[in-house]
Amino acid sequence: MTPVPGVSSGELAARRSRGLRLQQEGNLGELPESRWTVLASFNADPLAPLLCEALERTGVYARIALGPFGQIPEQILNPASELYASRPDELLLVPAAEDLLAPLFERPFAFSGDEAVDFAQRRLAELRGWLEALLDRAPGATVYPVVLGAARLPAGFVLDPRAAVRGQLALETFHRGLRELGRLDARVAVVDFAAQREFYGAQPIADPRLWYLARMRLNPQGFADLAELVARHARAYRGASRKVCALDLDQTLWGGVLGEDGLEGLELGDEGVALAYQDLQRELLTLHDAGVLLAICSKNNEADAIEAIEAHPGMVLRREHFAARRINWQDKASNLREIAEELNLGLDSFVFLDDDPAERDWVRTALPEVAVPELPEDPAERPAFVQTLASFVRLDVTAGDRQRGRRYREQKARRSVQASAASFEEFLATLEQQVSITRLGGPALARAAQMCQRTNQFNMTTRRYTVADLEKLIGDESVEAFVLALSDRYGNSGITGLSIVRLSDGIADLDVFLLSCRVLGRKIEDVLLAVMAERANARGARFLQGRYVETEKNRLAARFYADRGFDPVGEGVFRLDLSLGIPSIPTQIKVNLSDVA
Amino acid sequence: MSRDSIKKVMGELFGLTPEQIPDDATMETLDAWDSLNHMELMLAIEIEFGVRISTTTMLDLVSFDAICDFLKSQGAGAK
Repeated sequence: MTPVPGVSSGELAARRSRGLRLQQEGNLGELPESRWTVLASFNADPLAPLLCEALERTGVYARIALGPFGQIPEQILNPASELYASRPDELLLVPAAEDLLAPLFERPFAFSGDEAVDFAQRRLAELRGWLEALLDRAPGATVYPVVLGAARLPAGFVLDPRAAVRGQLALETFHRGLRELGRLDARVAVVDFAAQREFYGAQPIADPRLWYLARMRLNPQGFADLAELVARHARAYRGASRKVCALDLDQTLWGGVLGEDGLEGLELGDEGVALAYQDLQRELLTLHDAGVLLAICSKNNEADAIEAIEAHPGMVLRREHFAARRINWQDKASNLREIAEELNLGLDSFVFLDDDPAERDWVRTALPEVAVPELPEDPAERPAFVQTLASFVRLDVTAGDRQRGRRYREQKARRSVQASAASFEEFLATLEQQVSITRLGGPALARAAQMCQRTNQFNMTTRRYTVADLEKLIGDESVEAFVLALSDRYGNSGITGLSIVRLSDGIADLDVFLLSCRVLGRKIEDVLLAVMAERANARGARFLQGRYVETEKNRLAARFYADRGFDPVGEGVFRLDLSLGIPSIPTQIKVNLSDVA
Repeated sequence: MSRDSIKKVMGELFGLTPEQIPDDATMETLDAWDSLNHMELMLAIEIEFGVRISTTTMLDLVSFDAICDFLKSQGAGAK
């Protein structure tokens, strides 16, 4: 049983019009083609464009023929029917219980005792006969019988579920029998839409007006859900499911930012939002148990991250569940490429989960073959979201699947792979980053002090100033302090950087230079440094002086000044001679300096 | 509810721009409007304008003018 999340009405209209366009324009994308025939006991016309669209998303162009409705046996049993003339590769059979068991719905009390169940069984036997004939006459075709589920009970006002006249027993018999059809042949894949209705059906998927006016058993929502579910079965039947789930850590696998909140500060446990993160891990563990390889792709200090994974009491996933990991500060597309090489799998078998829309977009841009779903913003919605991801559907899970994770761990080959630089510069330009740098004061003081206390990784001197310390500093004439705020096309990150400069004897000394690790790796640090150099020059300084005070957490910043042309002049002290030139601001970033000068 | 917002809903469903839907459009005169997508149009209008259209009324609302008049009579406003 494969669940499908319901779609919004806007998304529904978009899928429908895309499907219609695909059907009109033909196979422009030169995808592999498949001929589909739909045989339904009711008018299923709206299904065709939706099915075409859903299949296209799985990488198949479907040419869909709708058989005349209400003629399932006629089409199957007549060797000269349109069905066989169209030589389908795949056949969708949609028998609605209301149609096949019509007398039961029309006159439930005409059946006494066990008669209703017997009747359902007789109809099932007929249906099985049709299916056998079909398998025989369409030798290459895959058949997808749909367990549609009924929109109502024959006599719903009778409340006892075991009462024969209620009709529920007969319906259950019918549906159970349909579910068994998969045993007939390996070419039969049952689509259990009834279970979808039961477990995931938040929105109405039928509308009596559509039945009376157009003989439809489903409303547009229902057709869209059915199309999606059928496409997932077809994909799983082809074995086209993805094999690797690559995961971000901060705000994805756990709540909070490890580098700032520390291991104790992470949201991960058995209450509230912390439980939502834990449940997401449970879903991922289930995928792991089903043979999906889990990998970590995160910007963090590796040692800290591994400590959190091993030691945090709320972790469900542990080190042994991950087949590969890249925890470092290089861009995630390069890391995913390396993970693919290490696992010896194509990037087209990857799904990438990350809470940060900018990271998602970068991976989509750099590696279009990776599936990058839109992870819901609310952690509470994520466990169900991951369970219903189309990428991991499979018809069944074999013993081999279940051992896959362990096998990969055992064979894990450690290879260093040359990082390839996709055009990160171009990507940065598309982010539309806007930096504004302003003098520290007022309400920003509290945030600045918080950053002094919490920022570890990109913090050159790790001075733990309080609000009072900062107020004293900016009262000093020789000192200038600036905060940096960043926004991009995805929104506003607020204040994420702080720089405090003390001028004496022609030297502008960077007493504090820090950025939250949320914004690292996007050249923001270069913007802040360039602006500080400019300002130092304007104040008449000959040198801009940086300091690096090593801590356990800030090693990624160790080479920051040296990499930017500063000369080492003492233990952890670096100087840039401003008379030789001033570093320029990266061109992809818009900078706003309202009150800096 | 404005006439333009109705044309927008129709256009989205029929794959047309609002300008391609004339004021005197009917199911008979507009090629893209057929009995099949008429049902979907009715459901889309229900969602967009927060109204309920009865089965009989659905059969009557087969011209742009009729839809406008119906929505006016319901005092409907676009969401």
